[in-house]
Amino acid sequence: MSEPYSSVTPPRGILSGHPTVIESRTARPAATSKCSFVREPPQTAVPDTRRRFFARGARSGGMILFAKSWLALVAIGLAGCASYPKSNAVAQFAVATNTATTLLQNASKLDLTLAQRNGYEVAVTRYLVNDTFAYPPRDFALLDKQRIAARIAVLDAIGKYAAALAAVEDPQQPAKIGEAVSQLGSVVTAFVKVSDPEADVSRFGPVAGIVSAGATYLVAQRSAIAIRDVANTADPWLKEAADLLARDLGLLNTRYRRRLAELAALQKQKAIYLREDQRVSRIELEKRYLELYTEYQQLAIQVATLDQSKKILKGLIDAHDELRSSEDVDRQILLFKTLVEAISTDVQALKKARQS
Amino acid sequence: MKCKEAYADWTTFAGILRDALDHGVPATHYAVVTDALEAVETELTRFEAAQLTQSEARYAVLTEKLNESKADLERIKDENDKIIQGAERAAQAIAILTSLLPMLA
Repeated sequence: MSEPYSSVTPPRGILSGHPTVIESRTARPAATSKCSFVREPPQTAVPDTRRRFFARGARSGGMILFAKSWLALVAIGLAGCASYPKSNAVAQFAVATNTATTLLQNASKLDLTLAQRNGYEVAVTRYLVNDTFAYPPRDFALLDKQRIAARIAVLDAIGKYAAALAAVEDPQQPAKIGEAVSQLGSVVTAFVKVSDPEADVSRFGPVAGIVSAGATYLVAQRSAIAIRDVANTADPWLKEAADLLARDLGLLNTRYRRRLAELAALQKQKAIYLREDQRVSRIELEKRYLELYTEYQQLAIQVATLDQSKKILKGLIDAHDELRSSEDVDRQILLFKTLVEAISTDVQALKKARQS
Repeated sequence: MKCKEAYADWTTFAGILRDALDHGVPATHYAVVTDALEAVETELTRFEAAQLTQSEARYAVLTEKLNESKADLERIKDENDKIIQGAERAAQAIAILTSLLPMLA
């Protein structure tokens, strides 16, 4: 239990100095020991150690002080509040990353397609002009797959980073924490009731509510700060990766444009040779022309997509910048409103319990 | 700089061969022209591969750094999950104790 709860401790800077606050609050029981609700514990069959524990907690006003300490912690926490990045900014970054990965994967396929198609055109035309019969056709020079793999690896890392961002930014998580802490408070109340039927547990519920609201808020704050820290650290690496990828994709784009122009020239040359053969009908030639043009158009679209690489990678960087600078103000307000409402309701309940 | 110039020269050469095919070469010269084109493409590919290789060490570093950032984010999520699980487990344990307590008393 110690490890998970240690995580609730807010990061340095937000609650710096809170131990002092707790000390000053915890120093008050002596002053408030004259309160009317402080009674001597009844003599029951409950063991001494357990009775002492609950007598201190439930009857000496310790819980009120505990709640006040939490309020102090939360008040200090509010001073350094940080908000989550906007969910849509995180989603936009993930989409931009996927687009860039798809682009590079298509670039890798395109290298093979153009090398094979150019090799085939040369081999088949040589055969048509009664030159050598090369089978299978020899592909034009290919880039080593390793060249593309290194780039896919960095984009894959960016993709996983984007997925981790989306997972940690789950808007429901602080609420889940609050629910779990609140549930813990309920079972503690039930436990105290069973262990000491005469114990005054009317203050347990409100205190559990305050602790739950405070824990929810502090964990949300802590996560928001940590997420921003990671995003700020990763930002220069992302920018450098995007710059390198843009440069490399520019080089690949030049290569594929050249290969595509060569394919068109090879196809044209083959069509000229076919036209010279009087046995090939005009209708057949037109059909061949349409087939070649359709194929060329499809490849030209794929090459043209690479032209968008700079824009796509810039979009990726912009999306990350937006993610870093955006603040989910709505969520921040909702979280704060929930916190204030929960605390004010529970403090009222505590006051009532104290008066009764 | 020498590399850049050589690359530009090979590119120009590829352009000349492509233009020749575009305008039509006699069938008897087709093999010579396409052999030359293939050879030029092999050279150009060598240059392009060399240029792409230059940045690969940096890609490896960046990949590692980004994986570290991913791990950091996963740690944040794990810590939050542990808080929830810890509270739930504690609640379960206390609930069991509560049910056992009347028997012990």
